[in-house]
Amino acid sequence: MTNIQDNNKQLFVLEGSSEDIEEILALFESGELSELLGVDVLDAGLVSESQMSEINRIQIQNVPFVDTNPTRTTEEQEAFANVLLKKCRREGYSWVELSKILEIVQRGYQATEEIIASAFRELLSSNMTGAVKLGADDEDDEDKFEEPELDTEFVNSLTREVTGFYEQKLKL
Amino acid sequence: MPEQELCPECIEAEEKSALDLVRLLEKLADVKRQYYPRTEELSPNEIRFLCLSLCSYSIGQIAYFFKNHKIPKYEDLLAEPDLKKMSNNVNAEMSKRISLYLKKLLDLFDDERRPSWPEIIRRLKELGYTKKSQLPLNNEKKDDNNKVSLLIEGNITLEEVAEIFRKNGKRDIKIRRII
Repeated sequence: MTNIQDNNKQLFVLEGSSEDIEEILALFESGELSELLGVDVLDAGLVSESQMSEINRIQIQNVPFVDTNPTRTTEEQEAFANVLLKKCRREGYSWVELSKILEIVQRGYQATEEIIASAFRELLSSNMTGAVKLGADDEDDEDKFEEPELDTEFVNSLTREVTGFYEQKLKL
Repeated sequence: MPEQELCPECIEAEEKSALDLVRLLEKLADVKRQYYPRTEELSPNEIRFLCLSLCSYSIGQIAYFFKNHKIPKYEDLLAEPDLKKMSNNVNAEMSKRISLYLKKLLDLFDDERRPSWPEIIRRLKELGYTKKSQLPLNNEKKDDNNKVSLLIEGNITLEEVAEIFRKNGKRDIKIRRII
């Protein structure tokens, strides 16, 4: 992955009425936005749904690790990530790695549900361009390959488990 | 141009903007001939710039596409050292071309500022370039232009950005710093 934090660049997302947003875009196109902010605005553009997903993933990578003790120990987080990994595997997401799930679990302590869900969505769909083999014994059978669809309910259930993982302990 | 010959960018633009790209490209080629009588059609780069702009891609994304032949993610844009120069070049080139033809089509003066792309799409629809078979339902979500990303180089805090917009009358904008 490209290192995106080794320079002086910043990425902001602004949300408002379509009139305000289009006005900001017009200011950028005319060059006035750089003047207004007093810094170089390199690019400005409307944010699509897929870009929002990328933004949320970038955000979770930037959510700081915090010491969750005594909320959850490292061992508890690892054990919990393993449980989620098994669930992913059972659902057919065979490419998912424990380290990636653990990262979501660890950063999930401070992230919003939206960010956690986006991180799971990004993780589970990261291999969806390739076909998934259903019948391991029939290697020549082209009909045995199919592209899975991302199960939104499964993403939501994983998200709820992560938030619940911390909330549950806080209630004890 | 027959519909089956539309390039992938044109098809995406047609889906996202609900404009009749075949008619629009034909009309813009007519306008182009008024400026450049020896040419016949829009060039591939003119068509790509138009279509990617109608898809709501930013000038930075389009400039990156011209160089690398793929739509970039934010990570790609952040890592591209010449983004501004690339964008300026594309802008300068297209202001003499597609932007000029569009202004003519929209009955604007050549030296007037080109309207924003969402505004261009609205005006083209008013002029009857809506694709007939396009169901309004398909566009409900895509017309929701309520988020914009700003890629900034320089030192400015989230609070300073918010304060500047607030002072300029943008009081109801939520701002998040991603990186």
